[in-house]
Formats: sequence, structure tokens, C-alpha cells
Amino acid sequence: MEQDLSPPTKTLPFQFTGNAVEYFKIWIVNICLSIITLGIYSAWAKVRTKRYFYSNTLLDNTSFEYTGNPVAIVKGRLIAVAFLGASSLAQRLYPEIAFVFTVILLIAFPWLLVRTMRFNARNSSYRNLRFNFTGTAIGAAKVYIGIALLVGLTVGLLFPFFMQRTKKFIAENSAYGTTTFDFAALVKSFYAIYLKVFAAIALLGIVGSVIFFQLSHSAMKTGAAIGLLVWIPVVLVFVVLISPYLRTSLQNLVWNNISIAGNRMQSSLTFGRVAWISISNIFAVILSVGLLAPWAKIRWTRYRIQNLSLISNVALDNFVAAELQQVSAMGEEIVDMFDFDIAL
Amino acid sequence: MTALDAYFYDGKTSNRHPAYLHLQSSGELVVNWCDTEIRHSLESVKFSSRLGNTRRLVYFLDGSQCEIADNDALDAFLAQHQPQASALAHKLESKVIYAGAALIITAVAVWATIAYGVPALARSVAFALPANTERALGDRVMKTLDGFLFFPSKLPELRQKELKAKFAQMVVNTKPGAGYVLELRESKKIGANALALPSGIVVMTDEMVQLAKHDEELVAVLAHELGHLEYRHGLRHALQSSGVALVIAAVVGDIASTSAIAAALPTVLLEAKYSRAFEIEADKYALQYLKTNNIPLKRFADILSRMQDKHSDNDSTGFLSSHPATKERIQAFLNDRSTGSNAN
Repeated sequence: MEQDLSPPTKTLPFQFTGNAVEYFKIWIVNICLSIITLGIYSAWAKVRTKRYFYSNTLLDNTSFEYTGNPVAIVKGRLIAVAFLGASSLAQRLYPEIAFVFTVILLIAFPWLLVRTMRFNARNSSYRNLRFNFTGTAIGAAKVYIGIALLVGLTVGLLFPFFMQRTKKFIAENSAYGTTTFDFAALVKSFYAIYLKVFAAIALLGIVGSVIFFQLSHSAMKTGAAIGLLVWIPVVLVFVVLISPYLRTSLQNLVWNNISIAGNRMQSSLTFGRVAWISISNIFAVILSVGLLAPWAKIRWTRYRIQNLSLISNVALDNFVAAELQQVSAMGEEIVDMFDFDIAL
Repeated sequence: MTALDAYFYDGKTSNRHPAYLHLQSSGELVVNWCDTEIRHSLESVKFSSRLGNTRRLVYFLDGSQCEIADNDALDAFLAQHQPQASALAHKLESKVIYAGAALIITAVAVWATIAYGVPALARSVAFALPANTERALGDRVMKTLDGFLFFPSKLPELRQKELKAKFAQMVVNTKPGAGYVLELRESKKIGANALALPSGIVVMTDEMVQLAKHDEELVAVLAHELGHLEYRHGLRHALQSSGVALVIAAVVGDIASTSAIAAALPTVLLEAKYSRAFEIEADKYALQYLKTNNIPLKRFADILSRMQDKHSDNDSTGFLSSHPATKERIQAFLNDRSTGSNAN
């Protein structure tokens, strides 16, 4: 008797159930309490915000969970502040030895990155099973320092390669329970995206400069006025076209190539929607003096999550927990202060 | 006794079991899933705090977990058996009135920081920094301006020397090492004008020199510019603008690209307010200078009103716009009777 051995595939959409009014109240109370407590509450605020977004993300009718501990975050922040304070004090008092701090930071940087990713992963769970991150500092140094240096040496030619390696490093070292994720996006796919973007930026630069010189020769007006006249549209084109394109195509490329134990992710963002949401979000936030920022964040998250699904061919029941230790939030907080983006 | 619908997760695998929870009068929490029944004493069980309408989790000592979607049922269930202890944050976040209060407190705090906190901080930082901090900044500005706004002065050599000597005389009593100098430039674009650059250079246009009917009028203008330098307005302005951007970014926070752009806008709006405060401060300095040097205060009023006549017929959005209404400033000088003998 001939039977189809591969189990039937099932598409499980991610759902996002957060809503703007509810989040607005959480957001404003968070800010207010952080102000009143002179910033101390902000660690709790950070955890509540993360919890809100995790818990409102559902897959197969189960929500994700964020378990970060605010006290760990406060400790991490204290260490980060102490380090930054010491380094700026040294710069003032003993400029000769201030470079030591830079060297320490440079050496510690890969380690901090890995700690950050581990902190975030281990404090994320789904179905009472934690995620994990197993990347090493050496592995991070190879990508974030080694390849980054090569990017500099080749005046950016290797940048798409660098991007592919960073995403690969994050994805392949991430695990759900004991099962690691796989990452299949090829370097050439990254080049395909960035070549278009580089070409568009170059074209924009050339057109802008040509018009700029034409105008500044024909009309004897001040450079500043013409500069604004030309460069405002250039920046606008960038915001309206290039940046949403990059966002859409990178997000889709990365997520469509992530899989775990034969379950594939699928992301179907479209350029038009991403452009519309990001531009209208910018205007909404500006015109509302920031009050619509929570709405904008919910709206963007909802769009991103609702367009993500898991194409599953095995039941989600058989992932197994790993033995994990707790991680301190020091890396997270230092990396946060330097505003380094390590998201996928 | 009502039972609560839940999912049960054992914490060792990603297996999910439909379950239900109920509380016995003995104070035991009973979890039923498949054919299993487990009893936990209520004290050994932890509940996740309520956050919006997100799913709640019940944590058991052995690391297993229940997920409950019906928040209100769980809260009612808990209310019967243990007083709500840690739901304060949720109480604040869920009531419109608390959110409204938080909004008002936040708005007042942000406004107070921007209107008073940032200027006060910028002031103490600016005075704490060594005098040469601004030099590089000012030198760069001068180079840029010399390119397209300023041209070499066409005043007779002798007249230039005379004015510079007069200025050198004026700064004798300022801190040593400040390095204040007067530069004369011709500028058809900005007309009769004078400005102070952060590096300690005061630029006065030929047009301004020609507009004056008495050298004491020029001294009055130079005293005003000297006020800008002595109060370090250039550096304070730069510090204040970045301070405001920081405050706004801290509040609006983490939708990185959007908030960065949105944060820039209020800075532009505040520019005018901040500059007005500086003009008033510089006017006070000039007033004091004129008094101590027995120069009639009406000299400053005279040159101001002549400048206003001159500027109003070509360019109303230029230099004068950042100044407080010129009429008020003129009045301030004409009305000052505190040292009556000089005012005539």
C-alpha cells in the first residue's frame, strides 16, 4: 500500500492582537512613572513593553512570552553607566590613557553582542520552552569586526556580504529549545537588493548635483536656498522609495529563508504597504508631537507580524528544552547605549 | 466551582495540552489535562501580572505552566482567594483617568525640561568648558560665511584700524585669553548687520558702519555682540538644540527612524524661543556696558530703529526675525531710568 510519507503541510499564520488604545495607556504610564522615579522605573517599563508585544504575538493560538527581569536590566544599566562615566572622566582628566577604554570596549564588543543576544533569546519563550543563543564571542568577532574591516577596505563593496553573514550568524546560532534554526539566504540575493539600492542612490546623487549646479549658475541666488530646493526632494525620494524598498526586501529575504526542523517561515510584506505605513507613521508622529508614536508602533508591528507565517510539516509538539543558565543583562544594556541594531 | 479553560505546558517539551483549572475549597489548585490531575497548593503557584488583555500564565513549582486567555475570569477567580497585591501597574494602565493624569504630568515635565532644564544645564556646561571648545566650531562657520556671504571690507584702512582699536579697548576688561577680535566685512546680502561667532570673532558689515551716525552707536552694537560672546550663546545654543533632541528621542523612543525625524521638528520650533532669550540677555549686557561707560542708552535705540527701517523694506524674514520685537527692545533702552543722568 503506497502512502504519502511526508506529512501534509499546514500554514500557521502569526497573529498580532495588540491594540493602540491599550498600548497608549501602557506607554504613557510607563513614561510618567519613569520620569517620577528619575529613570529607575524605565527598566520595568522596558520589560512591560516587551511583554506586551511578545504576549500579543500568537502562533497557532499560543502567545509568546518575555521573561526578562527588570532587576537584571537595572544592574546591566548601572554597569554600563559606570563604564561610560569612567571613560568620559578619564578623557577629561587623563586624556593620555583614555584610549584604554576604547580598546577595552572594542575587545569586549563581540562578547557584549553575544551576551545581548543570549539574554534576549533566553528570556523569550513559546509554549513554556525557551529560545537560546549559542553563538560565541569569537564567532561574533569574525563577523562584526573581521568582515566589517573588509567592508571598510573595499569601500563598501562587501557590505551586502557583511549583511548576509550577520543575519546568518544570528539565525544559525539561535535555537528553540535544543533545536537550532537554519538560514538559507544566499549572498547573491543580498547583492541583488543592495545593487538596486546603490544604483538608485547614485542616480539620485547625480541628478541632484546636476540640478543643483544648473540652478546655482542660472539664478544668482544664495546657495543655501537652492540647496534646500534640491536636496529636500532628494531626501524625500529616499524616504518614500528607497528606505521602504530596503525594509521590505530585506525583511522578506531574511524571514523567508529561516527554518527550523523542516518548518519554514514565510514573510509577505509588500513595498506599497510598507511605504504607506512608514510615511504616514512619520507624519502622524510629527503632527501629534509624539502622541501617536504608540499607535505607529502597533500599526507597524501588526502589519509585520500578520504577514508572517510558519509553513509547518511536523507538529509543533516535539521540541525539547535545553538546560539553561540565567544571563545577566549587562551586554544588553551596554549595547543598547550604543544603539547598535542587532535585530534580524 | 467554576473551572478555567487553559493550555498546559510541561516545560520540558513544546507539547500543548488543553486543560482546565479549578480551585477547591481546601485552597488547592487542581489542574486537569488528558487523564492527569495534579494538585498544587495555592501558595506555591505564581500568576503573571495582568498587562492589557494579554494571555496570563500560571507558573507551577516544577517548571510547568498554564496559559489562560480569559483575563476577567482569572481575575475574578483570584479575587475570591487572594487579595490582589501586585496589580498596581495594571490599574494605572487600564483606567483612562490615570492615563490622562500620566499624560498631563509627562507633558508638564517635558515642557519644564525643555523650557528651563535644558537651558540651565547648557548654561552650566558651557561655562564649565574651556574657552577654546568653541573655537573650531566658530572658525568653520567663519570660513563658510566668507565663501558666500562676506567679502573683504571696502572701508578705508584707517577707519578699519580705528574701529578695531575701539573694540580692543572694549574687551580689555573681559577674561584674559578669550581672544575676542573684530572683523569687518562687506555684505550686500545681509546688509547692515553684526554677528558674534562662537570662536570670539565679532563680524560687523560695512553697511552697518555706514548706517551709524555716531561711533557710540557702533559701540552699543558691539557691546550687544560682546554680550553674546561673554554669555557663550553660540555653544549654549548648540548644546540646547541637541539637548532637546535627546529629551524628545528619550520620550518618543524606540521606533528608531520615525522618531529621529519627528524629534528634529520641535527643535526647529524651539530655535526661535531660545534665540529670543539670548537676544534679551545680550541686550542687558549692552545696557550695562553703556551705563558703566557713560554712553547714552538712546544710542542703541537709535541704531536699532534705523536698522529696522532699513530691513523692513527688503527682507522681513532675515536676521531680525529671531530678535524680539524690535520696538520692545528699543523701548527697553529708552525707558531705563535707573541711572537717569546717562539717558540723555
